[in-house]
Amino acid sequence: MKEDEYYDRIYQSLITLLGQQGLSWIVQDVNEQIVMGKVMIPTPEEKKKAPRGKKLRTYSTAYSHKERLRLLINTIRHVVVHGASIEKEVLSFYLEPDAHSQAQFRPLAIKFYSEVEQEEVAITDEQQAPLRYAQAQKLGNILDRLQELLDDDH
Amino acid sequence: MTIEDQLLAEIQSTLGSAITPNLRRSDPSGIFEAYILSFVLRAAIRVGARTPIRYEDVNGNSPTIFEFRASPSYIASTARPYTHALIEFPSKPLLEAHVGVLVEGESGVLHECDVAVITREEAQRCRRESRMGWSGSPAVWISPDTAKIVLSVECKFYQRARLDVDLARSFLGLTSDMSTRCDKYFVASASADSVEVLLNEKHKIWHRNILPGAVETEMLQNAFQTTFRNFITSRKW
Repeated sequence: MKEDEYYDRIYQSLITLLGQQGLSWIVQDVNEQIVMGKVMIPTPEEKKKAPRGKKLRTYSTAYSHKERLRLLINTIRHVVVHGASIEKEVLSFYLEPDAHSQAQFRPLAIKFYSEVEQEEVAITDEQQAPLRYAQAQKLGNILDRLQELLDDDH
Repeated sequence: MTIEDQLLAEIQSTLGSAITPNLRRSDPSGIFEAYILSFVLRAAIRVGARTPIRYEDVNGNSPTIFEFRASPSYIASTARPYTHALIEFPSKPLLEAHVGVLVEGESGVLHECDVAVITREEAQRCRRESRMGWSGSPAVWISPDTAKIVLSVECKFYQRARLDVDLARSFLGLTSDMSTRCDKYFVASASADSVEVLLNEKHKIWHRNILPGAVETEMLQNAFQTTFRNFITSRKW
């Protein structure tokens, strides 16, 4: 059985890695979720089945140390690994000539610009995106292995 | 070195090169909105929109680089040559599909639409009636009337506890202030119980787990197709 300290050490290491890459906002979001806890909302069926005179209410339970770590790992997977998959899809739709997208003139790249921040926030093109996608898939595999290790209670 | 430490070292060496540039911002939803726009365009093509889809910028030029908004702004904004798509169905008004534009609700309040399909006539009116600022005279921006919007999508990438519910609430506010002619969607890359309960309770259209390879993407595209079919068959447009 692993101790809470074991999960906390890995959790803290991941937080440090995210901070080094300018991804502290992920940590902030996960922290928000941890503060909220796991919110349990009774379904209409559960409400109907509740004993007479007893009203089922929404309640929240705290995350365990292990659950906190799982939440952080899942969030990294969602944001980074799935983010790269989305980028790949976006590129293949707008940049590659196929039967569906069929832009009249194929663009060279896709840019995202924020008038609030007054800067180009992202450029994606056919050179960088496939490399990122490959690295993201690799990261996904590492996260899977880490998750398996955490789930193994021996 | 433990296996855990080895894996952490591998994460350290991989993470930096796996991050898409938009993720270094606190709101990385721009690329997700472009992704959802691709479903809108595919749906339009499936129900008979003219191909190839034409794209143009705010000045009517064909762009060599597509520029999408990463924060909401006016449809007539010339801060950048933002790209929009043109959707053409036979014998129907021409449509424009935009990312991140502000629209005018029935109350007159401005709302953000992450993805919006607007009649070209209305988009052109806004561009025509808006004007650039010049010495002593401020710029004036006109936003599309929601009665001229065929489809709008609130997009949400990744999960955020409190923000989830805030977004759902703002979506409810938006839908209550938009014309009934407009089909309004709430689309998320993840699932969130609180949001789903809230939107279900209010009978709103929402789609979750919209990610590459997920079966839910087909359902979303089918829903967009239904919106376009209704647009094609309706005499109101």
